[in-house]
Parts: sequence; structure tokens; C-alpha cells
Amino acid sequence: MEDNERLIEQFLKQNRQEIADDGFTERVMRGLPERKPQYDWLPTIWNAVMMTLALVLFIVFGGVGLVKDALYQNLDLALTQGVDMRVIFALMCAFVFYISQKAIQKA
Amino acid sequence: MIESLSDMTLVTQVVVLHNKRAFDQLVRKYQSQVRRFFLNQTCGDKELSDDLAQDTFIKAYTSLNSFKGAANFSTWLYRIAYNVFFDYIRSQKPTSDIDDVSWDATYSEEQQDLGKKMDVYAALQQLKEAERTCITLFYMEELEIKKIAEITGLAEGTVKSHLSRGKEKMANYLKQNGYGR
Repeated sequence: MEDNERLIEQFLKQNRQEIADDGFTERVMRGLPERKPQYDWLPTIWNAVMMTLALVLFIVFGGVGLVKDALYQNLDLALTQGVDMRVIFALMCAFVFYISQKAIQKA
Repeated sequence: MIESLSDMTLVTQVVVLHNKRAFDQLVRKYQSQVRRFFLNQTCGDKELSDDLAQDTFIKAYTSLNSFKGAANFSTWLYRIAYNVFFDYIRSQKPTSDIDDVSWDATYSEEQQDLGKKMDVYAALQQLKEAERTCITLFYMEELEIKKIAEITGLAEGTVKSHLSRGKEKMANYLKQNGYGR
């Protein structure tokens, strides 16, 4: 049994050859496809679950009614007392910022 | 340890930095052992071996993200090579037993180059596919039974059985051809 072991070991080790590259690596490298980044679904699924949960809690705890009331109150205030100058200034700033961003993108 | 560290560094460079040169280094390092694996499995069909080896490296490249470094890079690569080879066999002989596939020993170009008394591939041809895989990985590549089980997906006991049967067949063949006297 040990003789068989030694015989095979010797025979196969004697016949073990190192294979010269001979352009093999270059052929492989030429045939490689472009690597596509694998899309990771986990964050997307996590975000979707959390967004749904947030929406459900918002509705369950009366968020819709609160927002509606706040909007009506503000509109009422604006109509009765006039629009605050600070609001106009903030809107102008936002508009300037938006225009400058567009200009930068075009450049 | 240092070797697997440097392999891991090269793999990281390919995956994170999309550095193809790093993969070039990995191919150069492992081409000989992968091509030898296929030469042994195909009993010396050089052209087919190179095609299958190329397929192996391309598959390794496209699925490099899945290499987490739990196994050696070389074991991981052997596993891909093993799957590529058995997929090829199944595609050639979809209805018959995998062990029935025979290889044409006339492809053995190395026979003349080496000037050996007997072609190693003729001896390997006496074995069934699984026996040949286990015998060559164990004796030629000097892999442990545990690693061979990892590569082939077989149980360690099954690997031992293949080794034992393959050893007996091969020893008989070698003795009949004047070896071991």
C-alpha cells in the first residue's frame, strides 16, 4: 500500500510541469469584460421600508390634519396682516441662489 | 500568509479601484497551476485547456466581488476551474454519466517534449473524472483533503474514497507498464 503511494507520488511529481505564460495572460486580459458595479439592493429596500413606516405613522398620528391646519393658519395670517418682508427677502435669496447654481452648471 | 495578503491586496485593487493591472498580476501568478489543472483533467488537450483556463479567469474577474478572503485565492480559483470543467463536460455529454467522458490522448503534445517513458496523461486516463481530480490535486498540487473537499464540494470521506480507488487503479497501470520494479 505504501509502495503504491510512493510510486504514484513520485510519478506525478516528476511529471509536474510549470507552464510558460506564452501570451496567455495577454489573451485573458484582452477578453475581459468591463466590470459593472453590482447594485446593492439592501439600502434601497431599507429606505423603502422606513419611508413607508414613516408615512403610516404620520397618517396614524394625525400629521395630515396638522399640516393642513398650519397651512390654513398661515394663509389666513398672510391675507389679514399682509406678507412679511422677511419672507420676500428669503424668496429672493433662494431665487438668486438657484440662478447662480444654473450658471455654474452651464459653465 | 504574506502570499494571501498580497493576493487580497491585488483583489481589493481590482474590486475597489478597477485596476486591471492588479488582475494581470493575479493571472500571471496562477496561470500555470490553472492550465496544469485543465491539462490533467483533459488528459493533455492543450487547446481545450487554454480555453477553459481563459473562461476560468474571466469568471473569476466578473465574480471577484464575491471573494471575501475566507479561503485562499488559489482555492477559490480552483473551485471556479472545477465548476468550469464540469459545466463543460455536462454541455458535451448532457445525457450520459460524467464519468463516461473520454479524452483523446493523441492531444498530448507534452509527451514528445518531455521524452518520458510513458505519458502521464495516458495514466490519468485510466481514472474516472472525480478520481483524476482528487489524485492530481492531492499528489501533483499537494493540496490537503480538506481543501480538495472545499474545491469539489464533496464530503471529505468521498474524497478519500476517490483517492483510494484512483490510487489502486493508477498503481496497477504503472506497474503493468514497468514502473516500480
